[in-house]
Amino acid sequence: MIRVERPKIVITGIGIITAHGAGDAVNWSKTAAGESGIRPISAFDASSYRVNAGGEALCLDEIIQQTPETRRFDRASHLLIETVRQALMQAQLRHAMHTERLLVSLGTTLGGMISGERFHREVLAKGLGKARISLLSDYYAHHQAINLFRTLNLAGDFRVFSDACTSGANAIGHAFRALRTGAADIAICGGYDTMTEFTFAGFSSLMAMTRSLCRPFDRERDGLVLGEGAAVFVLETRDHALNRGAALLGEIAGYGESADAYHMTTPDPSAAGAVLAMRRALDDAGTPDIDYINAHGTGTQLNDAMESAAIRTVFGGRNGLPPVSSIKPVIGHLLGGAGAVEAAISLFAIRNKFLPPNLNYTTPDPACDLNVITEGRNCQVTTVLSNSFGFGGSNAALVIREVM
Amino acid sequence: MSVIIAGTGVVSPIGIGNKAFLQSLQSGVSGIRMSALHTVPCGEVAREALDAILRDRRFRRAASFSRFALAATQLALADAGCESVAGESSALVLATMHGASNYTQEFHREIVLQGIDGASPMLFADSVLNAAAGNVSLCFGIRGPAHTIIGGPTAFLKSIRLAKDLLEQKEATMVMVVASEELNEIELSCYSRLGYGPLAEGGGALLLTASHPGDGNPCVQILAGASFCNPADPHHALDTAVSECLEDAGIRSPEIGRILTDCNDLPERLGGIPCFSPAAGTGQAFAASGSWLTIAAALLLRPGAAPTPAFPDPEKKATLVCAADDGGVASAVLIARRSR
Repeated sequence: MIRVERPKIVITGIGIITAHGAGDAVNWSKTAAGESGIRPISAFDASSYRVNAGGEALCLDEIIQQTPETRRFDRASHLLIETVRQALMQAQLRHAMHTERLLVSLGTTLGGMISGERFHREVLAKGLGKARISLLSDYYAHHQAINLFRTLNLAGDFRVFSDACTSGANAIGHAFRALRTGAADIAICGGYDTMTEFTFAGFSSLMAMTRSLCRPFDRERDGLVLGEGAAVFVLETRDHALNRGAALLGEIAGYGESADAYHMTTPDPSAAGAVLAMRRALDDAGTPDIDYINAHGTGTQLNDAMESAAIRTVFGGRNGLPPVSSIKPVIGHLLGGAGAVEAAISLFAIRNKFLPPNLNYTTPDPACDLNVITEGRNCQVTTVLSNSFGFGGSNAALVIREVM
Repeated sequence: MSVIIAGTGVVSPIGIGNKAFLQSLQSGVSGIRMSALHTVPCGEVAREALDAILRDRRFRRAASFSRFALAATQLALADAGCESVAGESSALVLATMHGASNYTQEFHREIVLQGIDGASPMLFADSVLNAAAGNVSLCFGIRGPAHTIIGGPTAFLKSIRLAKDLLEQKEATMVMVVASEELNEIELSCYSRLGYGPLAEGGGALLLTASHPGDGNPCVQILAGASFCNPADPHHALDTAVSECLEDAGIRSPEIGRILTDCNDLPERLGGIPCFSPAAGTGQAFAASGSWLTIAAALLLRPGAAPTPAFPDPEKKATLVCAADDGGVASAVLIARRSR
């Protein structure tokens, strides 16, 4: 069968903000070193919870560019805008935007939930008629995209995906497809989510959070740790990037997605949906050899067992398994931001030829018989598979590759 | 390849099901009234009629947000004469702005007033914005792509465009495009204070499939879809969305017979084309309203759809559906009859 040549989609700008800090240098150096960004929560009073630690992006408060127009923005808008600023600066795109067909493709699970919480607390304290409606101006999950357009004077199309923990990966995947079919010239894509008591309480009520350390794939793992953050890529076709003299940082080579149709919060133990998403991504990328798998690896019993089964199904026996790590122990589970941040870390692994460690892994679990990276090491990484799985049975996988 | 609307399903304050919805539209019935539950007039869905459609007991405690989506999907499948959409080649795109706002509010209320020990995990699980998509996927066995797109009526039109892309890129062979919104007392109060309203709740669904020349009977097809955001110039956003949509479809403005829209400020190029909106009778239901605009357009184009004084048969075969959200966001979709 003749395979139709499709344009290569390259990454020309990256923005990232997490508990490690802002920018690729600090995020890579700390992730590669296995340095934990998990600290006691400061965003709200977590003293009544069994767990009170998370990965907050405390650096955000220092870099927010506050203006009269932005002072009502939710933390989520600031997180998104500052991340996009980084990406556009690296891509050297600020003044070219209005002549291009722009697609902004974003993923978030919560949108401006912090603003929603503040508003509702006022409702409960003062009554519905006295709560400040202005607090809802940045609550809905598409408002942050509109604020981004307004603040950076953008014009173009946008989509906001809210697919739980696959939101960021799906946003990148769909931007990738749009560019490949010529539906846009430039895409700004990624995901974001903030630390909110609503979500913290939610995962706490589900008994999903670790009471000690997040230990993906470890036999003693007992849950996830939450975090906040964002990552954004600037994507374009290789020809478009070369024509304007942009630096090519990496390539999105493939994308696959699926749904479990099994349960709202529990992954399908057969891993069929995860396998489908991973295989679709690999087929889309031309079935390359995978040098590293950046796992979803939440540290929960069920997700890690399911993901392990999926990886073994796709890649065969233990000796053939690519090395695997999850970075969630160092920055937390960023929900809508997870897929995007982890795709960024995957790219950094390629650019630095180094495999980041899976922190806190000490005791192998036969149910998670993977080639887990216990210590970071140098490696000729050229192609990475990044997995994301979420509530509602959502599955997504991205293949990220070195630019050839 | 064409993308055709194989089936539609409506859950609205003016009727559940295509026939009831269309008859109410054509006769100008209003579904807006005061109710026992809410303090301002609004368009509510008759719950007892919904219960008759949703027989799957797994979802009896699901939020209205999920139940409207499930019912609309069930109706669209029945309309299409399709027994099942289960499988890896089926996809789902669901649009919403508010999600399960009642469960969200109640869960947060429990946290604030009772602390974490009083918070119900079931409320949290069903409050996530993709809960309805998860439940539809689960109920109908949809195992291909499943997405939730956020926004007002434009989000539904964007979802149609995304579904069209999935079909054309062969990522799926059928896509269920759904919208759902539920009423919530806080939102009713806030929107009323801001001068919006009356609000409504409900859902809508389209089953889209790929069709090839020579397939089947005359039907209604999606020709094109486009969207644009320009907060600095909302009129430009709508004009751009409409013009890109027409250009993609290879259609000129004079070939449009009818416009379904809630927009007041239409581009000049559309001057003189008859405009219709269900909102006067249904109320405003954000993403669900986008589905009602589209479904109304599709039902009126169906072969055999009897013209009425309110909806005369257009001489031309193309209908434009367009919508705008606050913040300079606009979307447009062009649909038309397709001959055999």
